Amino acid sequence: MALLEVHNINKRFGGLHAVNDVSFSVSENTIKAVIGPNGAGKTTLFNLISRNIEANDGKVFFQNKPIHSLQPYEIAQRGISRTFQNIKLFHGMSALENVMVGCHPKSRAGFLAGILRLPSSLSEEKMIRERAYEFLDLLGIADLAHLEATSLAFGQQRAVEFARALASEPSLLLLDEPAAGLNIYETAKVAKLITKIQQRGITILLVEHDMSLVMDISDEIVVLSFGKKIAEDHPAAIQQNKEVIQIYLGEDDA
Amino acid sequence: MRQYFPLCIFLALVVLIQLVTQITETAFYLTQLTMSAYYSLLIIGLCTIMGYAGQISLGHAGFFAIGGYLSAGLTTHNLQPFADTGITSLLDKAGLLVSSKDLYGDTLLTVHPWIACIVAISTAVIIALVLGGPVLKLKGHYLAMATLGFGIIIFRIAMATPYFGEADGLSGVPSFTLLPGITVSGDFGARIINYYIAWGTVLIGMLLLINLVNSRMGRALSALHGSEEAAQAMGVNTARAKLLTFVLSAAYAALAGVLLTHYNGSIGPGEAGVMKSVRYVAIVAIGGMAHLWGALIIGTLLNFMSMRGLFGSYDDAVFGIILILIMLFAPQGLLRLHIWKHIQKIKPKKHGTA
Repeated sequence: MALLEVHNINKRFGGLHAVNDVSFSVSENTIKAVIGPNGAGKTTLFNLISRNIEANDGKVFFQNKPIHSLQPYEIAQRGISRTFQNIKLFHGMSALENVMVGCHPKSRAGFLAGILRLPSSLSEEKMIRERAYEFLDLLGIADLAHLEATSLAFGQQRAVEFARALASEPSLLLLDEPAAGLNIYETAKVAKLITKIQQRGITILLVEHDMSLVMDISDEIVVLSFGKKIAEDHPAAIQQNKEVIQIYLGEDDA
Repeated sequence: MRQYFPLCIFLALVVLIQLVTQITETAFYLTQLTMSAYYSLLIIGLCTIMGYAGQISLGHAGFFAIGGYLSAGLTTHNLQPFADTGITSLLDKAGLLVSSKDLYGDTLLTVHPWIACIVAISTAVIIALVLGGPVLKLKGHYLAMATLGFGIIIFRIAMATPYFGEADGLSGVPSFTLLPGITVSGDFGARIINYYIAWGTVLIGMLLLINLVNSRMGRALSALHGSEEAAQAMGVNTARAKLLTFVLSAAYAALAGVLLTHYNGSIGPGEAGVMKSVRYVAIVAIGGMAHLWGALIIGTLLNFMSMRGLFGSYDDAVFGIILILIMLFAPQGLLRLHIWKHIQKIKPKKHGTA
């Protein structure tokens, strides 16, 4: 049974049909990539799944339960975490605190417990701190824990965002262009990291421009063009797919 | 425990100031210091919603007025003429009313201050809940405008309602006995105890807010201030977090209104005015937005100076000018260190060119 199922999802921005009747599914513990030229609707598709934007119609099921009418925070509580294309770290907070916010869905202390500093909230707070350190460590940035997150180098910020997303211990991780703006070495590192995350039993859906990364690590690929799904297959088959080659390289005039 | 260290210094300072006024026989300062304390209570509440959660409110004088006016109205209006009507006699039997004698020896039947206080704060909380739900969906200028509108409504209601004394406000508000022996009143002899009641309340208020900002929910507030979208993606129910903080800050404002009104023995529509709200926002900004101690220190200093008449009749203008200067030269607040670094940077340059 698939972990995530998307059924005939649609999004129109005025006259633009950004996502046109797209359906696909992601099987448990696989890496699936969504590729396509600029403006193909990849990020929109992502935002529809994480409910950052509202779909016009269509259904999304996660662990066999409908999630297409939930609030974004409820999606996160169900076990879907995400990163953003244009990194969205919390300014004014340290890297550690950023990752600690990631622990939010797996912790409980409410408003009153916080105000009154109840013993239960204190032990939980300690647990959150330790877990956040673990994830910073996993990404090899534990030494940056106390620096302000938004003051870090671009690659490091990306790592903090990764750690933050992982801290919620999701079953499904949505990665929006994890290699954007990274050089070839950093991209190789990201590839390794994604495989490492998968080995922890986390399913991954990613949007990516970097073809070498996508072809190396994904189990399956969905290709979008002008909002429509034009192919869905294994990397090797996608590389041979005529339509895909056409949209990436253009019409063969000869 | 480290975050409580400043609270100890603060407590020591409160005691020290009282002792100094006693030795130097300047106990009259305690009156304005007590009043400043209540305004500071409102300001630290506002600091939480504005600085930490990033939601501006230009309506907090409204919540202060709801607290002050309701408790003043309930504890001053004589219910004796209605003593035999159903509801009044029911309230009386339930022990919620108190009777006393006025100057001419007539019997006064009024609501017990504790009941009035609870009604006043509950009303502010309910209004904050109802208002906050839709209004906190707005961002930036729009939120400022909507809360400003709320503040204006409360001001006009205070000005137009006979029950609230219209332009004259309400006076003759009785004292409020919190516990036996501890009474909020402006009596000359009760100056020292009231100074400690006020600052004790601020101390507890401060303690709770420090706990909050250092908790899981406090972190969620800072996060939604940074990026609401990302906070939601991390499972933070941002609408609820904002609403609860807004309600908490409204309760702080209402409590400040209740206590200050009993202390002063009166309240007027000036307390509900928009300029008051602007003043509170300015103070939070000067204190450095997400900086509870900054808000408390600046709030106490400026309110104290203002009430001592240091700014004369230019009071509101002074706050306006301060707000402009802070926004231009120290948008991070006065108490942030890098401003002093900034000033140091400017100094040697001047020497160089001179």
